[in-house]
Amino acid sequence: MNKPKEISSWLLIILSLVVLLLPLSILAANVDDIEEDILKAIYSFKFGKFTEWPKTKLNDGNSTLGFCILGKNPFTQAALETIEAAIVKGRKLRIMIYRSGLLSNDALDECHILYVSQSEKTRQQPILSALRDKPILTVSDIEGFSQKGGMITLINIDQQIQFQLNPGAITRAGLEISSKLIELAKIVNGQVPGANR
Amino acid sequence: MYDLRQYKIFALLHLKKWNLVFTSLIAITIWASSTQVAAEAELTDLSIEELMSRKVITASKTEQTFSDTAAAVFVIHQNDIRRSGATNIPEALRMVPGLQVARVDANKWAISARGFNGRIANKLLVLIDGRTVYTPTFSGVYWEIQDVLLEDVDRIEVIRGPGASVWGANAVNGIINVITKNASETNGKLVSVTAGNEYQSAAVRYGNQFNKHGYYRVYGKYFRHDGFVDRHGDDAEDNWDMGRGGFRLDWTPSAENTFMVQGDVYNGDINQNFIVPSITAPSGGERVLETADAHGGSLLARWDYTHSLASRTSTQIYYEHFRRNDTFQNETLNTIDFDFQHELALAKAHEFTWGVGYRLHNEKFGNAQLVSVSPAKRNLHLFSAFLQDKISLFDDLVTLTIGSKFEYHTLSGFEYQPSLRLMWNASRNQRLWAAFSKATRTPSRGEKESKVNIAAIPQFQSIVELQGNSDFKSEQVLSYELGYRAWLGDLFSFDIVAYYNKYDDLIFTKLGTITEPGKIPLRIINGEQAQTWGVEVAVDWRPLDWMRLQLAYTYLQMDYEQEISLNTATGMAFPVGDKRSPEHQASLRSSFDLAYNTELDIWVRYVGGISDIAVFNAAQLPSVNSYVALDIRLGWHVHNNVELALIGRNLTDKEHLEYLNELHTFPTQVERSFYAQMKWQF
Repeated sequence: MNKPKEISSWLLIILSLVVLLLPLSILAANVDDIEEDILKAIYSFKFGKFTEWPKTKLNDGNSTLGFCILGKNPFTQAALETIEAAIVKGRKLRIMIYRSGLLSNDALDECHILYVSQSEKTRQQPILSALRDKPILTVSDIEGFSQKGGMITLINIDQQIQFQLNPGAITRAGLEISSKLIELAKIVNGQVPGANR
Repeated sequence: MYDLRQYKIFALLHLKKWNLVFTSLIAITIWASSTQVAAEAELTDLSIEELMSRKVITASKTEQTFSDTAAAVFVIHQNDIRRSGATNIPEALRMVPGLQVARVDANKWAISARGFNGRIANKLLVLIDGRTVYTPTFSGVYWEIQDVLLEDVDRIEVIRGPGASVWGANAVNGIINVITKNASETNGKLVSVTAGNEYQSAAVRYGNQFNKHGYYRVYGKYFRHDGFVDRHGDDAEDNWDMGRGGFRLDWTPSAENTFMVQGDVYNGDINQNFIVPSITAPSGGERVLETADAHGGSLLARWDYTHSLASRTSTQIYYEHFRRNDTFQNETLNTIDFDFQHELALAKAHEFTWGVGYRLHNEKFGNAQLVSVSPAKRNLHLFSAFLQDKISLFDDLVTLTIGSKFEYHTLSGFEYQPSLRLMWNASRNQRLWAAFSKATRTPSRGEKESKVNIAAIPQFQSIVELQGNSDFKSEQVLSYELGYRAWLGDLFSFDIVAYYNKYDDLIFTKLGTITEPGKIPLRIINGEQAQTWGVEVAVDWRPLDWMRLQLAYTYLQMDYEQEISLNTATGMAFPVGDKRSPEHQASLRSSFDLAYNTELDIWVRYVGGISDIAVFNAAQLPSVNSYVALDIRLGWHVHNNVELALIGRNLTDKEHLEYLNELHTFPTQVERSFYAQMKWQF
């Protein structure tokens, strides 16, 4: 009848061990490494700093810059917290997540950057054709996103995040992107969305 | 078996020690997280060149998908299943707050949400990849035949509370949704072998691509489960085995279209004990040990079509065959189901969903010793439609979801089941929600058209017969829920739900007129009302990258009121409906990622006793006491593709009783078990 006591004592010992080991593990962590999704989130809003939207898109009466995530949220809470205070074009970033993967036209009007989640992989084509004339910067880490007509693709090469650009798609949407970004990117002359229709 | 008083004394004695441990843990966590936040602020100032040169680590963390749902949701991810050491779906469900999971014997489970638990718990709807596995015959789920390759499960979503406005009847107290992985995620070969004193299994899976946009997988598994022990600790001989095979195919022929086809077949030999009523036996019953033959299969196809960025439809059809033959039932059931659903983002503030469905149950009963159903053959039809609108108000500060399901069922006629849910985005990482809903539980053929021999009274030379009643109508619930959740990054999350449910027209029995000598009729009626209320808490805390603590606590109170008083003098009113459940339940999972790619998982559960269990002749049966269970798993990733694990379950005692089957009760105790597992992926 002293079994519960035994179990609790064991738990106590385990917890105490953990407490002792805690400081060690914190020291051991490599400070320079960043979690992949945090870096991707930072990239996505940084691209906004190098993008010029048409005046009409920025005169929408909002004081925020919409960062929309389409599909299952690929970012951890930590990643979103890292970027949520960011200021782009003098506007505060506003994060909106559309988990269902569905976006109505007026919701779309509030998006300046649209991050297409991996969960929407099979729906890339309808998404990109719906966006073809809209001045919205499309970003994704789906492989081949830029070849299919997406604007920016984030790729992991040897645990470093690089990006591909599709200048045709960017110009077609009425956006301008700084030459500095073009120099750094691995350019892809992908399909311009809707060009085949 | 454990006295609660002991815990109180123990808690008092050790309060100081525990306090010290927890305070230091919390202090260190806060310190660790504050340094992390400071580092993150600098990250946003890095230039593109610097971003390109930084090394990244890819951690697999789970998204808090539930945070924006105005319902009591808990998600079991693949990793939770793997680290729990569970070998089947029911055992994994023990980690969910608000659920009652009890093992009746080696091959039967009683699982419910928010009370009313039983072998045939009738208020919980269960779906596997969109196929409902709730049986219309006796209103419940035969858990022993619900299985998948656990490695292929993506997640199990558990929603407590009524979900009838979308899912339909019988989602009275909750829904369990088992979702398997897309075939594109299970490419390659998997071999999984388990061996232990109570359980042995072998499973293989092969996945491949059949064209550029199409994937498939096929699997086969076989397991053998040892018998448990009876009330005296002797072998209950309820061992069983089952073989199962299946496939899944996912194909995206064009950008707008996705197709999924899946199917499975199974066959099992299930040994089970019944106490069969007998007027010649002095106790009124004789033990019968027999082998039930259970087999079946299903085939499901789904087509998802994207019309535009704002509109999407899903069309699904399935067929299922079920067959079981034993002393209790001799049943063949064929099901055909059709479902169509359309999701529309109508405007920024409106997400609209509607759908229609049709289901046909074709049932056939043969002669069984204990149950007879008349008419033996019957077709049951279910027509349904639902509407739901999710409206964002005050600039996304508040989300309102209103909807209703409308159904027409052969046995219960027309029914509507509305719900209203409101969520307040109190802050960036806090949500407060409230819900009001009405749900119904459709009568089963068992309740309307069957006769069951439930007991014998040798003194009167009589058999007690439970008789279905064609006037029996749906059970009803009105539910009020209130929930709050908060989280601190990925470090900590807290979820609490309180609810009050009011039930009406619950199943009860009434002594009928004796027309045949030697037969005492107990008639099923809508004769009971109940009120339940409770609190459910889930805490998930990752103090460190390599350590995670997950706590679940459930409090449940059930009150009953009968229209006719229980006649204790004759003992002839039998409360079949009020299946009582433990008042307190707690589960604590601690997971540690240790050196040399090893993992340690410790799972402690406390389950309260069940008083006044609604079982015929309960007085002669052992009582279901509270118990503490301990599971330990030690895992080792020998190689990227090979995982070994040693698992001990129910380590605190040699055997314990978790539940008593409602009818023909043969008390069976759950045993301590050990097993080793090997998974090889290539």
